[in-house]
Amino acid sequence: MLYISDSLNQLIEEFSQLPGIGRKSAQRLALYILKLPKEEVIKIAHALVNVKEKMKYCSVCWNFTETDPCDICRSAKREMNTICVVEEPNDVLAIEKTHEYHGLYHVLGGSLSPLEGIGPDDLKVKELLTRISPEIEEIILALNPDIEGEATTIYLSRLLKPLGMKVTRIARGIPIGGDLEFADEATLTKALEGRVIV
Amino acid sequence: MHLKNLRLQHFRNHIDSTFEFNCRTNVLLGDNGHGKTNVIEAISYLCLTKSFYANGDNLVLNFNGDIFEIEGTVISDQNQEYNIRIAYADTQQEKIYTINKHRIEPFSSVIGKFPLVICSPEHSPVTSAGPVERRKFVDFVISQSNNNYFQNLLEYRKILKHRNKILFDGKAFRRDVSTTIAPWNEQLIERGSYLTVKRKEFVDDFKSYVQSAYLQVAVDDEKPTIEYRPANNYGEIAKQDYASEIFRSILMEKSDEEMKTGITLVGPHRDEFVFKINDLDLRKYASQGQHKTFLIALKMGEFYYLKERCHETPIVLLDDIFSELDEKRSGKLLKYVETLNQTFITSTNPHLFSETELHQDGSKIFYIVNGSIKDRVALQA
Repeated sequence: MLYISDSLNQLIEEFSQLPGIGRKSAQRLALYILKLPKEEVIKIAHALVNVKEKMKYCSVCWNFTETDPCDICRSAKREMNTICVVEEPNDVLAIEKTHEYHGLYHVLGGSLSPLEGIGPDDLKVKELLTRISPEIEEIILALNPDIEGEATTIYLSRLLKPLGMKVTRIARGIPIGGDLEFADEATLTKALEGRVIV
Repeated sequence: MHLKNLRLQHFRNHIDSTFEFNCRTNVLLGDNGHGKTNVIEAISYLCLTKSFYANGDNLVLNFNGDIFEIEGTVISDQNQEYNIRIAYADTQQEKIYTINKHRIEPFSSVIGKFPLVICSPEHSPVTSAGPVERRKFVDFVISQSNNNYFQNLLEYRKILKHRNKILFDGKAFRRDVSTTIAPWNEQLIERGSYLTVKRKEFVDDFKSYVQSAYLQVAVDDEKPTIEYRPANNYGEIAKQDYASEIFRSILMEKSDEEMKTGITLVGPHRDEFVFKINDLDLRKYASQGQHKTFLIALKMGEFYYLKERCHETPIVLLDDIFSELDEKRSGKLLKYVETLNQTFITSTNPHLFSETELHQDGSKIFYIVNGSIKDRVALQA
């Protein structure tokens, strides 16, 4: 980076810290910013600061929100008797896109991972337990299908089952539009285990 | 299957080498350090996505390059053509593996698609050293024949690391870990008992393959056998439900001891496989010659075992194994090996291959000098 000014270099450096952005993409983005009219750049900068200042965690479900409690937690249209437990805010977005789930959410903020030093106290587990009331009929555990997600599922189900509500987990198996022939053996095995009567 | 051609770029001491292989025997001749084994290693990269002995992709990169590339064409038993390419860029630390231009991920899904049997001096600890070497051998054979086993094994290893961390912290900070460890116990038991049952099945089947291979390569009349000693089981373990019940009870038994030591004390990571000749423990009683014969019998057994289960005949890589055998044994082995499938043999001794019948039925000799092929001689009948 011999012929690039310090300010441009710094911008490239900052962009390349972002997830999914490599050095080359960072360079492209920085040069694009450089070519934009000044008003446009200020708009982008403003949006960045704005989102950081306005967005906070919902004190009920721990999803990102501008208003506390969040829109989902306040909505009268949601079914208040079901909570879907997920790892990250991204997962809420993914499930919302289906338009098939009308209950509430709870974002744990990760999954159990002793190697990374993440235990139950580092996740929003206590916060989940305080939400449990006689009105809650079902808790859906929708965590990632890796060993950390699996450990979290087992941990939570042991905690929740004695409290009396129905505890379920999402199924694992073959993606829609996927070809059985190309499914890996582990997925196929789980799909066989989770088979249903037709 | 067989490997039709291979191209290496900036791989070890090969700047750019291209090989057209014979579909039976390929002999790579040359002095030590000239790059024979590198060719074998490259084949291992193509079929297994990694080296069979170097730990780390940057180690096999040529000193003057940032990227190494290996490309080859594999023809399956059903005559299907697969163009495999693997490239590693050191600057990005990124490795890309493609089959017929389709990018394959995760790499673990490739294991078993292109089965390989590798025999090199690196493998001699399998019969002589501690149990970890034998577990590695057994895991590698089962993984190539059953990718589900491989996935379970990878998960088991991760679970073990997490669980050991909990035990270690519990010991260091004198903390009660019984609730935090519970979910990891469940997963350890599930994956662990699966591995135990599969290893038991494997040893039961594999024994006979080794026995018949041993007869082919041994000079004396001896009976080899393999005994499985699972660490998490005392009795019969034919069914996984039953195996997990026993695993659970032993895990409970050892829990106090585990808290004291801070590591996981039961499970397949502590299994032992005992190799025997005429009912005597190989490690304690066998001669050097018997060790070598046993190792070769294991590898040949592996060949037939994989051939039947992968629905694909494995490629055989024999790295420098003739150097330690006398001529009578070498000759016998060579004749046997030629009946298998496509074979790659490295050697420093050209005499061995001129005096045998090797050349008559179509084979190819490559002379490797300083990372390039010199004076290639094709001796097709």
